[in-house]
Order: sequence, then C-alpha cells, then structure tokens
Amino acid sequence: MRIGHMTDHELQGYLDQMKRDSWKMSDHLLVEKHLQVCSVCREAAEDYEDLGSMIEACPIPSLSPGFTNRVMSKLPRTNPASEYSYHWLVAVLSPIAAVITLLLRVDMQPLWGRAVALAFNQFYGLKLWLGTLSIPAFPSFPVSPDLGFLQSQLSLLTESSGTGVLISLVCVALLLFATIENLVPDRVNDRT
Amino acid sequence: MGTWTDNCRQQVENILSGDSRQFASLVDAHQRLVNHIVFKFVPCEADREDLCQEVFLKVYQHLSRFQHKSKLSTWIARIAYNSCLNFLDKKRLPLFEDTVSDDRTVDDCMAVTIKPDKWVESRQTSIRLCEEIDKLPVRYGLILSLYHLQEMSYTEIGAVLGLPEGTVKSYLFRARRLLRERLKISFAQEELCA
Repeated sequence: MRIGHMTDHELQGYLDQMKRDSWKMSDHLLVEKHLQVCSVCREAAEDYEDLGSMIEACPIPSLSPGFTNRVMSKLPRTNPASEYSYHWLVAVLSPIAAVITLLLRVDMQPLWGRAVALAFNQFYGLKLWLGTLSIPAFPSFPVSPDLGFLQSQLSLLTESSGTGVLISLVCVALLLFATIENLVPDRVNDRT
Repeated sequence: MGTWTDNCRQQVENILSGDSRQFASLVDAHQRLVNHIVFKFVPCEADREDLCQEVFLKVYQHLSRFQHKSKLSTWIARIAYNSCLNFLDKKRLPLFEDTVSDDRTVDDCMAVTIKPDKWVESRQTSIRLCEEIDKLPVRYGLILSLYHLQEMSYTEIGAVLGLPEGTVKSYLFRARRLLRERLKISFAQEELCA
C-alpha cells in the first residue's frame, strides 16, 4: 500500500477509468485500499466525482429553432459527390500535366541554364496546374504534340546525369504535394 | 457497434447520392455537438449561429472525403474546431495558454482546505460552475465539454483538437483541478461573508 498521497493526475486518471469501465483490477484494488485509509485523497475523489456530475448537468444554450431548415436552404445545388470527382480530376490531371511539362522542357537547355530551365518549367507547370481545366489556355502553351520529340526528350532525360533526374523527380513530388495540399482546404481532413 | 457503423456508412452514402433528408437528420443529430464547440469560442450569438451553419455546409461539401476511419461525430467536431480557429484568426482574437504544473499531489492542490457542506446541492453551484468554466482557457472548457457532455474518449478529443492523447488528459485534469480549487475558494468566501 502506498504511503504518500496520490498525485492529482493519478487520482483523476483512476476516476476516469472507473467511469468509463476501463480500469485494471490490480490498480483498482490498490487505489481502493489507499482511499479507505487516506481521508485527503478520498475527499478529493469525492470532489472530482461531484464536479463531473455538475459539469454534466451544466446547461448549454441551444441553437434557435429552425436551424436545420436554415442550413438546408443554404446547401449548394450540386451533390457533394460531384464536387469530389471534380477535385480528384484536378488532382490526377495536375501531376500528369506537370510531368509532361518537365519531360518536354528538362535538358533542352545547356547545363549552365538548367536551373533557369527548371524554374521556367515550374512556372509553366504551376500555371497549368492552376488552370488545368481552363481549356482556352492550352493553345498558347508551348507543348509540341510530336511523339518523336517526346521520345527524344525522354531519352535525353534518362541519359542525363543522376542529379538532373533527381531534381526532376523532386519537382514532380513537390507539385504532387502542392496539389494534394490544395485539396484539403480549411484544415478539413479525416485524420484519425 | 457494427450496426451503428453500418448505419453511419449508409447515411453518408445516401447523402452523397443526393438524399437531402438524410443530411437534415445528420444536422439534427450533430448540432448539439457543433454548438458545444462553437459556444466555447464565439461569444456573439449571431456569429455563433453563422459559424454553426458554416460548419454544416463544410460537412456537406467535404463529406465525400470522410473515410470512416474515425466516428462521423469526431470528424464533424474537428471541422467545427478548425472553423472556430479560422474564425479567431480572421477576427484576430487570441487563444489562451495556461501554465500550471502537473505533478502536484491532491494535498498540494488544496491550498484551500475548506469543504463547504453539501456544496453540490447549492442552488448557486450550477451557475457558479458555468461562470468558472467560462473563465477557463477556451481549450480547457472545450475538452471538459467534449469529455463530460459528449462523452468522447481522450483519443477522440485528441483527434478533434489535433493533440496527443497525453496532452488531452493533462489539459482535462488541469481544467478540473482549477475548477475544483476555484469553486472551493468561491464557497469559502461566501461562507466567510455569511
């Protein structure tokens, strides 16, 4: 049996466990024994039990009548599901667009200009990312539809130094991350 | 538990497929929870109602992202909490912190050792308790509400507030200890005056 008083933390933890039926028999017996002989801890335990009951009886002002109807009248006309598909369409398209942008631009510049080229790519990648669905912006975007050109750029990228590839991959990862972050506005997420 | 989860999943699916009546029942079922949270942060009644509405509109807009990894109520509570933080940010209102050490014994806690008889039964107790809860740091009051009124576990509260379980426990215990001390002081003063 313990000699000193229980800490406040121990006592409240024990009472919470008792309340939610999550106590361990060994702890329970030990604490109960202590409470039988220690009037200070017993009094504190009684106080906390009373306090819990009083908090549970506290009145909380309710929302005014008709709250649900007012919320319902403000709902958007689209289903939440359709909004979801739109977001994911953007999420899927954006990184793909970013990758294409990178493939078409990386290694087109001499080595000394690679950093500038990457920055340029990112600018266009970002522009494309932000306006993925704004189709009229596409014609002005300097993308060649020539597949042979795309293949040559791909081979250039793979033959280039490891650093170049690594930088490209990091850029893509960053864009992907930015896209996903953008999909979680107002700190709304299901994180548990 | 399984049936409850299935019902929740079904309700979410119905709402996503456009059943607005199901969403109305979701609002009915969770408005008390949302109000509890918003009430702690927002003193103005009109702002409070607007914010509660905003919370449910966000729930509707983002419901498709709910992955059933937590209880729906926990997810909604988190949206409510974050909306309150955004509201405070916009209004440039500060959020408290408190610094009381945690390792005191029950004996140390009782600087005031007077225990007024039947303090629970006093007619004034409930009012006084509410006043004392309002004086607590916002997060403490919120944790008390979520634990005692919404019967959430430490883990669920942690998920709502984005805090580790240990921190939630620590805040909850501190809040109750402060309340206990303040109520005792308050009653002791009343007895001295009587």
